[in-house]
Amino acid sequence: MSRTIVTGAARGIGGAIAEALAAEGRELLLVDLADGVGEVAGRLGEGVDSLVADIADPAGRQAVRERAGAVAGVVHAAGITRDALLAKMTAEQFGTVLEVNLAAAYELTLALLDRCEEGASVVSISSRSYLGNVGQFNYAASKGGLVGMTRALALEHAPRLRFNAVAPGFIDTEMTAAIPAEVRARILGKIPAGRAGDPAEVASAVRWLLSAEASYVTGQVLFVCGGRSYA
Amino acid sequence: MIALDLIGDPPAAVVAALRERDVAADDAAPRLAVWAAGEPPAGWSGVRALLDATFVASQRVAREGGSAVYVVREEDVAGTRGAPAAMLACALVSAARALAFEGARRGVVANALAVDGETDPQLIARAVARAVSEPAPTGELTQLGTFHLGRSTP
Repeated sequence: MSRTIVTGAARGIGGAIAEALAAEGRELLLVDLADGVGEVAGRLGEGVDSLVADIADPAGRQAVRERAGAVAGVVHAAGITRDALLAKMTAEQFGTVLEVNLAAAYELTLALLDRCEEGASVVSISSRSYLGNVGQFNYAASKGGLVGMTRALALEHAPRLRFNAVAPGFIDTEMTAAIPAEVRARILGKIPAGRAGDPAEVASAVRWLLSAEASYVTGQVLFVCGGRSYA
Repeated sequence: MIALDLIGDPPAAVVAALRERDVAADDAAPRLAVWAAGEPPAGWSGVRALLDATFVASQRVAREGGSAVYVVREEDVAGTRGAPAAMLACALVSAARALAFEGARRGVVANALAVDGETDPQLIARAVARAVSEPAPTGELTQLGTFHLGRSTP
C-alpha cells in the first residue's frame, strides 16, 4: 500500500495532520527533526512509520526518499519562525526561514516526484501571513514562495498529480501558546470567528485536499483562518 | 533620473525609460527597485540569491524610511514559467506586503508590480516612479500586463 508522507509531524499542526490521516487508515511516514516523531508514530499505531531527518539537508531528503516507497500524498508541514522587525532581522534569520520553510519543501518534492503514484496529492502548509505580517518579512516571503511553488507544480504536473496549499491563521499550538495574554486578546479580537483555530481544523482541510473528494481541485490556496484573511 | 537603488538586471529599454523620468529625491530616503521579471532562475540557488539581495536592500528602506518596489512577471505569479520563478515572484509579493505592513506607521511604502513580456517599458518606468514617489499606495500588487486577465487574482 502506498504511503502519505507528513513532515513536521512531531507536534503542532503537523502532528494533528498525522493523527487525522491515521484515523482514516492511511499508511503514513512521519518525518521530523525531533525524536518525538517516533512516539507520535507509536501512539498512532499500525501502518504509521517514522523517520528522524532534517529535510533542509540533502542527506535528510535522501533518507526520506529511500524510505518513501510508493507515495500517495505528501504534506509539507515542517516550518519555523524567526520573527524580527526587518530593521533588526539578521541575515541568518532571513536565510534559515527560507531554507526550512521553502527550499526544503521544494527540494523534497522534486526528490519524491518519481515516487508519486498517479493521482497523488501534495499539500503545503502556507500561512495567512503570506498576505503580510509585522515582523515576518522572512516568514511571509517563505510562505508566499510556497504558494508560488504550489501553483507552478500544479500546472506542470497536471493531470497526474495535484498540488494545493492551506493557509492557516491563528492556531492554538505550542508556538502561539507563548504569546502574552494581552497580545493574544488583541489578535483574537480581529478574527471574525472570535477564537483561535484548533490544529485539528487545519488537519481537516488537509485531509480533504488529499482525498478523492478534492479530485478537481489543484493549484489552490485554502484559508483556514476563521475569516481573518478578509477582516 | 530617479535616485533608485536598482537590484537585478532590467532590460535597457526600461532603464532608459527610468532615466527619462525626473523624480528627484527630495530627501535622503532610499528608493529601491528590485527587478525580478527577467529570465526565470534555473533553480533554488538563483531564487535565494535575488531574495538575499532584496533582503539587504530592503533592510535599508526599513531602517531609514523610504520606499521599495519589486517588479515581477505576471506569468510567475500565476506559476506558468516554472516553480523557481513562481517561488521568487510570490515570495517578493509577500515580502512587499510584509514590509508595507511593518512600515505603514513610519511612512515606509512597499509595493509589487507585475509585468508581462510585452509591457511597454514607458508604462513600467511610470509605474516604478509612481511607486517610489510620495504619495504612493502601499502593500499593493499592480498588474501592468494583460496575462492576468481572466485568471484568478492572487
